[in-house]
Amino acid sequence: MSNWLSNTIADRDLGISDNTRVPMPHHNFVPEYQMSGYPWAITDTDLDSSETLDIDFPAVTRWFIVYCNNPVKISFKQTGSSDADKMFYIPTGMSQRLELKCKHIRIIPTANSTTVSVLAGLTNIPSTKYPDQTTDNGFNV
Amino acid sequence: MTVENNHRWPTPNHNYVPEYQMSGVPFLETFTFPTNGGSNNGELTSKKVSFDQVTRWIQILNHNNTNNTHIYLFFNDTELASFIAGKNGSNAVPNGYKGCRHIKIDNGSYTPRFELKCKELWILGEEGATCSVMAGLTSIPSNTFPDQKYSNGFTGVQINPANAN
Repeated sequence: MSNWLSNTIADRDLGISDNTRVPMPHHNFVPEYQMSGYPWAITDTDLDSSETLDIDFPAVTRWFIVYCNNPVKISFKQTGSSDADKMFYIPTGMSQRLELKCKHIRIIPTANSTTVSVLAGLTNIPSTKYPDQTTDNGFNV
Repeated sequence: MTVENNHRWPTPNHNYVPEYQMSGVPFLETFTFPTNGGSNNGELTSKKVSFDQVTRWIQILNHNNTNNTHIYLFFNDTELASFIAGKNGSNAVPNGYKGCRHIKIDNGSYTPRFELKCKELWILGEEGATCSVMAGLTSIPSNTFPDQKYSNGFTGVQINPANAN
């Protein structure tokens, strides 16, 4: 929003940008995880087992859930192909709420005609301020 | 004493953390999706649920036990209208089913507790289907919460209008 610096409600619309603070919250700033998150949702249908669904969140997640009509695997590796021993298996249905901070997940269907929904609660922390999820950066992905 | 007595001065902002550390004020709504006379069985209709205060969490129950009686959860009315237009109309689905900004909830299932702050949501279901919404509310008035649309930074509830069909 062009007018996000204004502090008066009268001369601006409210937007998430109004949450922008100085200094910008870091991904280790605890209060961001004590609040509820902003909703972020996506549904993809008719995924084949040969496809992957790469999701880049605009902000660091506080939590997310995955719904699928066929079992899927998820990976957090941001670059390159996912390693078979670094995936988590999610059976058909809705997962528990996974309280993880991340900016990228990869969903790998195990069957054709798979529908996947992801719902996340986002923090105010821009994902550009979060390290890339690679082994070089200390992620065991 | 009323819930309004919880309101404080200055009014808490939706980023005021203690509001989310307390348990919420209960909100409950159970409804049946309206029918259109039975001539279009299976047609999808929607229900808007508005909250007077920003939510701390929401949980949804899809009561229906018939196979494939799914319901869909949206956080933006434009996205909902786009989806309905495609689903109830011809095979020409605006925005496709790929990348739509909603989630699907199976028949006969409770969702986990979604710890989300929002002031309104829309649920889409088949005529005659029943659904319940439970929420825990903060003391933050919803009129101080931004409208849930792409241009306000809610990029995960609505497809970018610039890219929509």
